[in-house]
Amino acid sequence: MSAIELLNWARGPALQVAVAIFIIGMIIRVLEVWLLGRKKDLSEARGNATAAGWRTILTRSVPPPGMWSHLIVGYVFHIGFLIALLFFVPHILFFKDIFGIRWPGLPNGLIDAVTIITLAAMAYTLFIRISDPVRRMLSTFDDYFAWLVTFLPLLTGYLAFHRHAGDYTMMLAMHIMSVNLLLVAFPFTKLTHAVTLFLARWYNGAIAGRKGVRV
Amino acid sequence: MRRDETLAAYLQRRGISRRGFLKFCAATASLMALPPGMAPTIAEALGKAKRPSVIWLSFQECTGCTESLTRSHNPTLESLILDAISLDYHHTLQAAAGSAAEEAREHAMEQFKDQYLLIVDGSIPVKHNGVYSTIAGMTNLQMLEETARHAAAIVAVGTCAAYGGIPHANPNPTGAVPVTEIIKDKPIINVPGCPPIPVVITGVLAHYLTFGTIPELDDLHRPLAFYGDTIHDRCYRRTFYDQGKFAKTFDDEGARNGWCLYELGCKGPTTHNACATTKWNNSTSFPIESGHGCLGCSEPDFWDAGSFYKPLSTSTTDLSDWAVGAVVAGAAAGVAAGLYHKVKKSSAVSRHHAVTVDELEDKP
Amino acid sequence: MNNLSDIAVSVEHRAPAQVLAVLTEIDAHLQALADLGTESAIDLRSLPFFPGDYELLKDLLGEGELKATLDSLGPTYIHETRVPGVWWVTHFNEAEEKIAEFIEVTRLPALLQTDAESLQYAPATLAELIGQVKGEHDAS
Repeated sequence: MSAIELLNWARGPALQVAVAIFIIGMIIRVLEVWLLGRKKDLSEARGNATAAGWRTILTRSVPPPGMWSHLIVGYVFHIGFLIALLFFVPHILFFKDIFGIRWPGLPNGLIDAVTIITLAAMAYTLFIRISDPVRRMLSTFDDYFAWLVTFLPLLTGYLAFHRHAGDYTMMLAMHIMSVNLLLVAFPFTKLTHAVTLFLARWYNGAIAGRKGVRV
Repeated sequence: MRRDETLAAYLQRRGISRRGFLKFCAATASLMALPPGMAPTIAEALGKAKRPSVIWLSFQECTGCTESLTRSHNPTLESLILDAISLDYHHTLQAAAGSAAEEAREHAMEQFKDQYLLIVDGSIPVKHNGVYSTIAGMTNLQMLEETARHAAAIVAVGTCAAYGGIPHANPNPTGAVPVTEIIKDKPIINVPGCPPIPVVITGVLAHYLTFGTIPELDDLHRPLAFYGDTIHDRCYRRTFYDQGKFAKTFDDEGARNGWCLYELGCKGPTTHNACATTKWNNSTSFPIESGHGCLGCSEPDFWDAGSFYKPLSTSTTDLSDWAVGAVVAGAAAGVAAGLYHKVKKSSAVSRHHAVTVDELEDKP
Repeated sequence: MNNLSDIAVSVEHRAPAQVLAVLTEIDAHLQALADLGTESAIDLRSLPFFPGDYELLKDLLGEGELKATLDSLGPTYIHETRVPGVWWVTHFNEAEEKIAEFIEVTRLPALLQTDAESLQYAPATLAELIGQVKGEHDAS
């Protein structure tokens, strides 16, 4: 199969199936948990659950003392990833094709710099995970795999745009295939945290807040 | 032109002076996208090259490739090259018809066994034993196999012969396939394009005539001299792409200023061809210069690669419909999964019972 | 009625990078010609010119004091540009269509010289002409 045939397949049926698995998978995951419900708390409420829920989303976004370095790198790569995904013009055109709306993009040079920083931050998180004995012991296949499927689109996208790795068509095909892989892996790995983290933080805060714990 | 005389001797006999010959070699070097310094090498090669026999087979095609070739520069260079070859068989251009034409083909195949050049345009249908395209009672498949057997080399002109082209597009009712899928044991040069740029066709022929060899090819059998770069690599609007200046409709300010056509579906970045430098109509212009994005017509399956007007970064399919369907399916499956877990949970709860001391002591 | 000329099309003002690139290449070739006597040529077909670039380059280099026309397989126009050693060669076929165009950096383009082979036949050609003149003289 030539590069262009792979690209057409990656942008075509492969992307369709990946998007379908992503959407169906994520919706099932969320509904599954949500519909399970929680045991009704029969005690008298001693605080405002709802407000505590929203507050907790914010308070848990800031790490406790001693974990700042971990946070900065984490925020850098999350924000960097989102900037590269949402503000690079060709990506905006991709979303416009699906949702019908578009928004202004950022200059290519800026996206470039952000991508490099994001790749570096991600490489650092992997390094920390492997070198710290506790983290290494706790890490499973899911952790490394989730890291890989997030790293690959950034790397292949960067290489494709700069035409560093030879034929552009093949590199673009690799980039889209890596995105397909990310989409398919999403509902089956810890990457679901992208959605569930807000649910989890809200519920934790609400449960504690109802009990009167100060959050 | 006598068959045993060299091309240089032929040109001299035609009354072309030494200066004319140098001009011819310089223009031929330019045609073959070779550096100007190669003109003396070409002159030397022409002094040794003999006039080859050429058989041109037209299969499932629209004749656009032949039209393109005959529209290339009028007389002089192209006619010299075409005169220099002995076009022994060509449906559209030959005078003979019917059995006389077939006899001419068979005679050339016999007389110049293992030496003749075979040019093919059009795809070859193979479904139902190839009945969808026949000539003189023979299917295209049979004719190709028979004629290719003793050819020195094959040039597949046009996207149809090179990759199947428009007949090959979904759902491909005739089972159209390219030459490379049928002939596996001969050197094949693909000269794709819908149609190919005329001087590219002539340039490839000129190379074979002059040097008697196949030019350097890429992994899709295309001559690197003409297909080594993508349109994007050599596009004069590249600065606008780099600056992020895109035309968003065909008559907005960006379009009038000649900005990049990426958002309007230009496939330049993934299309290999010489349009951006060699251009069309005697170097007049090419699609992008005329304000329309590249269709990608020299790449395989360009008819099935999604809309010509949607950018490369979008899906070739309609994802929004698919996504809506997925949301509905996901919601249904999610509700079903949720209910299933709820039922499982409540049945587990209902199976709870108080454990007695005896049960505890009975446990193994 | 709307005319084609009513469509407002403007060529955006930008630095003629392509023209500068060619001029830089010519400069390098001139250096090689001066130092080593190397002759070079640039094929204008291979350059992706922005609309206006080609005209700018041609006007910039301009015409020097020497122009020549070759009549073989159609006309070919050769002139030395304002820059000595830089020649502009345009080949046309018999239908006046441009078939090739080069900028040559040389002391004398090969096409302007008489080649050795043709020179071999020169005495015979001249002898024929002399014969013609003598014949007329004898006849009168």
